[in-house]
Amino acid sequence: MKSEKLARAIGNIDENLIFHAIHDEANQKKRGWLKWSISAAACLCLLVAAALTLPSLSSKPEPRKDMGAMGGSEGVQPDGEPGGYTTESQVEMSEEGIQMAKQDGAAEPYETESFPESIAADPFENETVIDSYGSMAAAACYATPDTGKVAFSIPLTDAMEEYGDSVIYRVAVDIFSDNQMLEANSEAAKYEMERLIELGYTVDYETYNDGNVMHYLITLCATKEQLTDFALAEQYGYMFFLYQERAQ
Amino acid sequence: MDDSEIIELYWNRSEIAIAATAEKYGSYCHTISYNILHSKEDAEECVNDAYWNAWKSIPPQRPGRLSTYLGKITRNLSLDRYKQYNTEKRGRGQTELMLSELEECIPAKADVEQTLDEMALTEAINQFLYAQPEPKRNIFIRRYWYLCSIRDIARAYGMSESKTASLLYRMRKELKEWLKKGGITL
Repeated sequence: MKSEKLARAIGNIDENLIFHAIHDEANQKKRGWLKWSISAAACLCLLVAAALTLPSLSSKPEPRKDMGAMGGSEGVQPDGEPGGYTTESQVEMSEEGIQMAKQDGAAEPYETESFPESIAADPFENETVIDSYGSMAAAACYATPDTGKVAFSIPLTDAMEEYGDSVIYRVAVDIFSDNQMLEANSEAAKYEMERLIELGYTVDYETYNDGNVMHYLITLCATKEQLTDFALAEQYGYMFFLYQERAQ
Repeated sequence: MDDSEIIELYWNRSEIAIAATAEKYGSYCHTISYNILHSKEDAEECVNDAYWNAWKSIPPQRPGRLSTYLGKITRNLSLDRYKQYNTEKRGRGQTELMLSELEECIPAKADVEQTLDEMALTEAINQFLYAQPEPKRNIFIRRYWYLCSIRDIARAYGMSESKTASLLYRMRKELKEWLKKGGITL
């Protein structure tokens, strides 16, 4: 058949074309996003470190008591030095840093657990979170995972290969029972989400409207280890995608 | 394990090469095969055959890009199997649709004199694809190399299915003209 000959000829096209068809310019956008994300995370770490360290370095026992009674940004300007913090959240962090210094002493290092609630509420605030990698187009072509099996999309596999355990992966998960995908808003899916939450996974449930239809999405934030050693339920198969593969 | 390490394992005739290949590219190859055959069992066999072919061909081959090297082997083996099963499985999956659509790219024989071998045909297709804007090129390859469904491509690119189908239709016509101008017949 002539079309078969053509299909085979297409099969032998340049490998760069084949490769870039699923790692195309979206990859460059992702790289830009990732660089920005890493830079932002680094800046955030510096801000947090500065917010926590500066008050403790400059604090003295007596003035600290006074400052504890002071409100607003004045509290982060010990000895009349310019504070340099302008945002509300940064002020809050600094205030908390002062309170911690009161409790633990200026020489004591600050523990992560002592972060203010606004930060502690998001366990991945200081982590680099990956939710896209390369082109997500090929993700839609995957075979349904068998019961008791876990499968990862190519972009997610590539991302885990590149970043390993150094980042958090924000993923969307499709759950299958007997090769049929559970509706994310079904009771079975909700029970499964509750089970995963009980096992310590950070699970979320999102809805969005594409203008025509309401969509439901189950998402997880997890480490590579949590994904590769996923605590699956034997009656289900799981397909994991990077979040943006599904969100798009 | 990166590709160069896996290839070294092949060259050293270490059977770990197969396991490493399966771990890294098993899903990729399975997807390619499944899109053609629409059968998990057949896809699994084709992927295993692809590993075996890779084992036989490396060395002497030293692939520059292991993923596409394996992908090509898998695709060819899957098409072979599809052809073998064609009569009993006709009409299933994307393969039939893909082949049917590609018929439109074949120039009428009367218009051309030269018959080229498959390598020359591939080269003409390469040139055609490199002449295309990147998004169009990638959509074409996703459809006719990876055999992704139009629905999946449309969703991936945020386009409607009809727009995607229309774009592919125009590209097939363009490819037909391209081959015709190049004097290529099949």
